[in-house]
Amino acid sequence: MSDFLNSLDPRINRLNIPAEFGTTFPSKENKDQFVTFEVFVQPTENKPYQHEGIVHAPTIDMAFLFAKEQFSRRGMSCSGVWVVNTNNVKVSPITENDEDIYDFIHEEIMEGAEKGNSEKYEIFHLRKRGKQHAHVGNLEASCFEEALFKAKNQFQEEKSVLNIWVAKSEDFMKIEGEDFADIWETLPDKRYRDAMDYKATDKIKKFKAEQKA
Amino acid sequence: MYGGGQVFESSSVNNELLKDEDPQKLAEFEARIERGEKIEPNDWMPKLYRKQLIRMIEQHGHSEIIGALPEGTWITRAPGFKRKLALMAKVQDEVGHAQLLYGAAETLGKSREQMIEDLITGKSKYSNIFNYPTFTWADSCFISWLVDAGAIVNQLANARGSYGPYCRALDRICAEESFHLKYGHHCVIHLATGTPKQREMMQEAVDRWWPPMMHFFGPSDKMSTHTQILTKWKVKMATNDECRQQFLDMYVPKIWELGLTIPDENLKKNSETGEWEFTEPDWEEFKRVINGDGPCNKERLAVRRTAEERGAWVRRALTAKTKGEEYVAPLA
Amino acid sequence: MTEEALKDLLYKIADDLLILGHRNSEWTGVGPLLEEDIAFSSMAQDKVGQSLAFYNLLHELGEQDPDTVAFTRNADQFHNSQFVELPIGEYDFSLIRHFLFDHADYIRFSMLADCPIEELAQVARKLKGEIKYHVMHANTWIKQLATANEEAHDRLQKSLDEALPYALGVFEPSKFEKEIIDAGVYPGEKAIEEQWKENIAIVLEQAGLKLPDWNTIKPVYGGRDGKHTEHLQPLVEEMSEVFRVDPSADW
Ligand SMILES: [Fe+2]
Ligand SMILES: [Fe+2]
Ligand SMILES: [Fe+2]
Repeated sequence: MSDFLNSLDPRINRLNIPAEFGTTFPSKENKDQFVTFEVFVQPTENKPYQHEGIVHAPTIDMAFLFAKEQFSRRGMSCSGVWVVNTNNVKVSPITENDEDIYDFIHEEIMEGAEKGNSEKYEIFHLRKRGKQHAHVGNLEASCFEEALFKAKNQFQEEKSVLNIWVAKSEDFMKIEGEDFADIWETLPDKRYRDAMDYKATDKIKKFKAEQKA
Repeated sequence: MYGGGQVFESSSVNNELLKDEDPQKLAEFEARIERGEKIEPNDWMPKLYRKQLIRMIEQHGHSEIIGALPEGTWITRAPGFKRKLALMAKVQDEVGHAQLLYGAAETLGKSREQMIEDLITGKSKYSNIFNYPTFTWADSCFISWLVDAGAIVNQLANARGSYGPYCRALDRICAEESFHLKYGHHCVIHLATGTPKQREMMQEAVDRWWPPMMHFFGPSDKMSTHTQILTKWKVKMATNDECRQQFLDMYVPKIWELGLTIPDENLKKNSETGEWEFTEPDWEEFKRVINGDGPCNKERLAVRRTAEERGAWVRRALTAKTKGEEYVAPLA
Repeated sequence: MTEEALKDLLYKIADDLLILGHRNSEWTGVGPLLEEDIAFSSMAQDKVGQSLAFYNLLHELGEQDPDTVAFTRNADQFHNSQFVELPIGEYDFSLIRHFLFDHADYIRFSMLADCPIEELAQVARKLKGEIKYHVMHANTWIKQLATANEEAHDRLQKSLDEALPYALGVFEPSKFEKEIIDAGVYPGEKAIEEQWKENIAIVLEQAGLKLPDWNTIKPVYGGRDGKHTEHLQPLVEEMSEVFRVDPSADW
């Protein structure tokens, strides 16, 4: 008994942790550091995808597995999750709140850019500091710079956009549409994850009444 | 889960770091915060701001992952389906909070693996309260309700801070905390208004947990010039005393209405000042526990290390998959 | 079909899900990496939630309420396969069990979705989507991990070899097998087993893991009749420790 750490948690006791667990823990020279993936979630079909955060994952298919449970396990519905390797997202500079980043984007940005085949790029906007990037659409371009320049014609808004993310459509893993709708089907039944499911004011009232009596 | 107190030791706020900052950039940075705008990862920021934020967010993350352990103690024993599902989800949320917070700290340039290493080597701290044991089911109910309530006071304040990624993480966290709070309250109500045995369990848990709860927000903070700058930069959003007072004001009446007693004869609200008065917590014990000599410090770290060691082969294998791909800080 | 036969079917499904969900929750907070800790916990919750749906069906058939059924029986009154009660082991074993069990469950729920008993069919249809994600999760993990390095491959192969006799125990035919098949409730355990062997073989091949000749494996039966390993009674006692302090109390 005394050879192992004695915990109040039976799960921990089953791990058989030595009672005299080494007080020094060697620093790992090579860290087990995966890459990160940016996660975008669509709550219902006609809403835009919105950036929700990141996951660490070794591959994009595992990134999806992780993103689904970290970022779409709550709420009444979810209709899709996109993940993309952080390395594959190009980021514009960020402007002041009253400036529009598109005003700083001119044809010259394409000068010297290496053009490839025409393909689809996804565009995301940040409209205010502190908010999340939201998907505004996609377009055909032959390089990131061209995508950014074309985005100005297609997606510039009345209100200023502070920051733009651009990524190739094919770099995303997109889990959405009819084929996957059922994996979120029971979300509304997960009532136990919701504060609304824990009402007990009646019990308190009854208790107080009994105390008085 | 998160408590103040250990985060801003004034010695760690080294104004030396400020000396060689570009005065114009610093002025613009401070003006932005003054206007109530958030700072985003690619904005210019003073080195001291970056350093303090990493420290604070990282410790908050550690508190979440370690905080999963005392309640996890009861995960396989929760009574009935409703409690079983809720406690699983609640502890899962706390792990999720660590994930979110580490992600926010990563945007400032410290890798998650480095943070985890600093936790398990004892280099960086986590909230003191999780160094106490949960002897009974009622202890876990106390944590779910009141320790989380304390955390929410802290987190709501910090959510009004200046760093965008941290605020976004906190918004998400606070939304989930409202489930923790209601669930915990629901559990405590059922015990306190239940059978004599249940009541007794609950009262004993309150007696055990009240002193660490008073420690939770940390000692009175003497505002030095060092910490003033963190307030100005909206890194530190409320003093330890403000948080403690707010907590007492919101929750002491709710504890009393359940017929539970709080083990402090001096606890009362001063009707003139509107402030709560209480017996000064034992800050010597607080210091002792922070420095490693609490009832569960050793176990908490040993468990975290064991989890790391047992999972090492999984991570070793999977990192082989990412060869050639570089880790970069998350975008936002 | 007799009600007794239907209850027998529902009990074994519910007990499998509860015990495995319970086991898998042992990983919450101590998983191999943060994101997986969260994902695996979700699936453990799904399983416990699914078991509750089946205990509710049983309750409608006149059995006691789900809490009483789940938290007051002793091990020999449980109808789960021995497979699900085994300790969690190292992560390789937990993953392999998750993979083998959920593949079987997905087939079972797909079949039950067409069952003539509407209440049962409805539950199966609803929960199928959850299990679809579980299977995606399991397939992806097994494939990625087994092809990552030798250490991971060998661990998974070893766990697979250990798990298979128990996994076959999931398909232990019940004494009502013929009655249930004749009533068209679902095509029976043998049919699930055949389909399951095909489905897992495809993934295991992609993962570079070997399946032995099925004829050399002796299924571990008995769980459906209440015969269990030494692991179930302590599990049940642990699970109901607080509940049994006062089963009539409102917790
Ligand atoms: Fe918390
Ligand atoms: Fe939390
Ligand atoms: Fe919490």
